[in-house]
Amino acid sequence: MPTFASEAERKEILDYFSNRFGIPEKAFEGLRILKGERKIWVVRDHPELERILDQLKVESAGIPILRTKTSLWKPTTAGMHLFGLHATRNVIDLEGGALKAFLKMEPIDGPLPLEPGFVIVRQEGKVLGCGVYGKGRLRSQIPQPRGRSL
Amino acid sequence: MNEKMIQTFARYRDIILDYNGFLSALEQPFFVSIRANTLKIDAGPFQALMRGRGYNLEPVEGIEEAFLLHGVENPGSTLEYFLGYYQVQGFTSMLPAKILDPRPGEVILDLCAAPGGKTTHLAQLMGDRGLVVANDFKFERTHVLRSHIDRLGILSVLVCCYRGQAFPLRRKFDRVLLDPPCSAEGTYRDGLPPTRNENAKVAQHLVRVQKELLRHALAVLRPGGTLVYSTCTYAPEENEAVVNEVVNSGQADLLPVQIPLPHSQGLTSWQGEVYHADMVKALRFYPHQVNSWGFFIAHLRKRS
Repeated sequence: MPTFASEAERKEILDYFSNRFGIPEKAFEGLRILKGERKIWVVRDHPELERILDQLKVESAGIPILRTKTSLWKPTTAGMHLFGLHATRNVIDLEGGALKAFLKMEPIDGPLPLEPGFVIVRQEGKVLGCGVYGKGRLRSQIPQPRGRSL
Repeated sequence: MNEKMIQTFARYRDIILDYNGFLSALEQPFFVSIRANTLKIDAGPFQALMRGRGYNLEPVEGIEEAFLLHGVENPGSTLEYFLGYYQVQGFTSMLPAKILDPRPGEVILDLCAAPGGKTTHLAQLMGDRGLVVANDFKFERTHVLRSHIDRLGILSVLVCCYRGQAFPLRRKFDRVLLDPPCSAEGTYRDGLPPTRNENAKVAQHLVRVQKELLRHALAVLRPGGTLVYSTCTYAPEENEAVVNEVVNSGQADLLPVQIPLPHSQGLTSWQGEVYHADMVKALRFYPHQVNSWGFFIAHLRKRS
């Protein structure tokens, strides 16, 4: 059951999105951040939200934006679709053969103008999801069955 | 058509106008219908985008966010689906959320929420402003629900996993949607497997569960709040008889519904049982009236 992130935890999470992707804090205005065992969630704020979370056993709230199972946080596809629109850093637009290869889950050889780690992949400005860049190679992180069917 | 289903439907001969037309409609395939996710893209630009991508899209009159998608075998495999621009949903299945008419800021309960078409539609109609508590008894079904919430990018839904009849009473909701398990006769078309009410024991069990769920749904609704009861079945035992119990007992009143799609009225009697006269305010949708799932919808207000 997710619980509210403390102020310090919220800052740490928003700093991650700001530092890694250039997503401004204001993109999360009006939203509350919740921590689960392995995920971070964002949910619309509401005057009754805290009371409902006290009254009910809630399995999930809003959408997951980060997987925190390991020390290396991984942004979720759902979170990237929503907040990746605001990204200015570690974001790459793909087209043509590179786009097709990415959607087929095939690696794309660089070098690419990206820092090693998780990156946002777009097509004509639309956020497709997440990739991981390392050793000069970009790999898709879109859930495989979904990526393969596109 | 499946012989068992012909027998199942035969008992409706006297209540379905143009019964032969009804049977003929069951031999027609479903059209794929989709709902534009206006939280991500408005209906107009969505239509232009899809047409620009070569899709044959036809608006559904009376539901501005609904479209028929022709010529696409697997509408859940397109890039636009993955991006959360639309939800695959029968357009009669969009009506319960439209009729419940949730407002931004309200707190809504969808008591039997999975797989989530109606839940996500409720949140969409509220502009993702407010809270929708989406409950489903079966935990594995909530995974599908959550996948739709994630893909559509909806921030105002909380998912719970209570047995519907045991949903905590301490919380009262502004509006409740109850789309309980049903025999699903309305989803039958020629070539599909028969629906489950051919077994009398299953049918009786469903009716008992539906009555328990409706009583409980009213118990968690604030006085004066509204509730939509819907099923995708034609069986009066699962529809009018269930609603009749709470109307006759004075717990709730039936509200009139204006809907710009062809439909029939609710029944005021069935096999010797007489229902409340207001049952004509309920709606029945048949496939020869609209080429979508058969549906029953009743709009209720809890007495103060």
